[in-house]
Amino acid sequence: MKKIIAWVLMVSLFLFSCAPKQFIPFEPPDVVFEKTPEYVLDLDSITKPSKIEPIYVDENFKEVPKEEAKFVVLAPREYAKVAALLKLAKAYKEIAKEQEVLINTNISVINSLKEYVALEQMKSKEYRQLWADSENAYRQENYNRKIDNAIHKGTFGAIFLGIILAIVAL
Amino acid sequence: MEFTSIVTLLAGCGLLAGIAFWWSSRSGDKSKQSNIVHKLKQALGRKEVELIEEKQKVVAVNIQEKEKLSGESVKKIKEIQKKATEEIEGILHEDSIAKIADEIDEDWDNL
Repeated sequence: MKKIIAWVLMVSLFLFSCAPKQFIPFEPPDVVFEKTPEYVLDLDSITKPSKIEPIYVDENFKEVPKEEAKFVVLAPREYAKVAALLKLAKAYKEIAKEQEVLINTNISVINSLKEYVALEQMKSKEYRQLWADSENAYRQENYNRKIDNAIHKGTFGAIFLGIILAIVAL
Repeated sequence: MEFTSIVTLLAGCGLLAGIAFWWSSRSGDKSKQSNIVHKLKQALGRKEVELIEEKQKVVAVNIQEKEKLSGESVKKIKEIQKKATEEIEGILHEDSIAKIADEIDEDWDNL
C-alpha cells in the first residue's frame, strides 16, 4: 500500500512538474535564388570589314578622281565587303531579336518576383494574425487566471475568517 | 455565540466556497472553449501559410526555369556573334563575283 501511495505521489509530482510541450514553429521551405550575372554584349567580337575602296571611273570606264566619276567599280575583294556588311546587318538583326527574347524573359522573371513578394506579404500578414491570435488568447487566459486567483484568495480568506470567528465564538 | 449561528456561519462559508468553485470551473470551461477556438484558428492559419508556401514554391521554380531560359538566350547571342564572324571572314576571302552576288541577293531579302 505504502509503495502504491509512493508511486502515485511520484507520478503525480512528475506530471505536475512537467512543462507543457514546447511549441516549435515549422521550418519554411528553403528557396535560394542565384545571383544573375550582368549581361554584356561585346560587338567587337564580330569581324568588321575595312572601308570599301572603289575605283572611280568616267563614262569610258577610265579611272578618274571621285569628283569627276560617273560610275563606281568594285574589285571582287571590295564587292565582298558589301556582302560582309549585309551579313553584319543580318547578325545585328538576329541579335536584336534574341535580345527581345532575353528582355521579355527577364521582364517575366521580374513579374514572377513581384508575385513572390506579394505572396511573402500575404504570408507575413497571416503570421501576424497568428501571432495576434496567440497573444490575445494568452492575454485572455492570463486575465481569467487573475480573476480566478482573486476569487479563490478572497473566498479562502473569507472562509478562514469565518472559521477563526467560529473558533473564537466557541 | 449560539450553535445555530456557528452552523449558519460555516454554511455561509461553504456556500461562498461553492460559489467560488462554480465560478472558477465556469471560467475553466470558458478557457477550454477558447483553447479549442485558438487551436482551430492556429491550424487554419498554418494551413493558409502552407498553401501560400506551396504557391511560392511554384513561383520559385518558374523563376529558376526562366533564368535558365535567359541564360540560353545569352548563349544564343554569343553563337550568333560567332556564326556572323565566320560568315563575314568567309565572304571576305571569296574571289568569285557570282558567289558574292548570290550571297548579297540572299542576305538582302532577309534584311
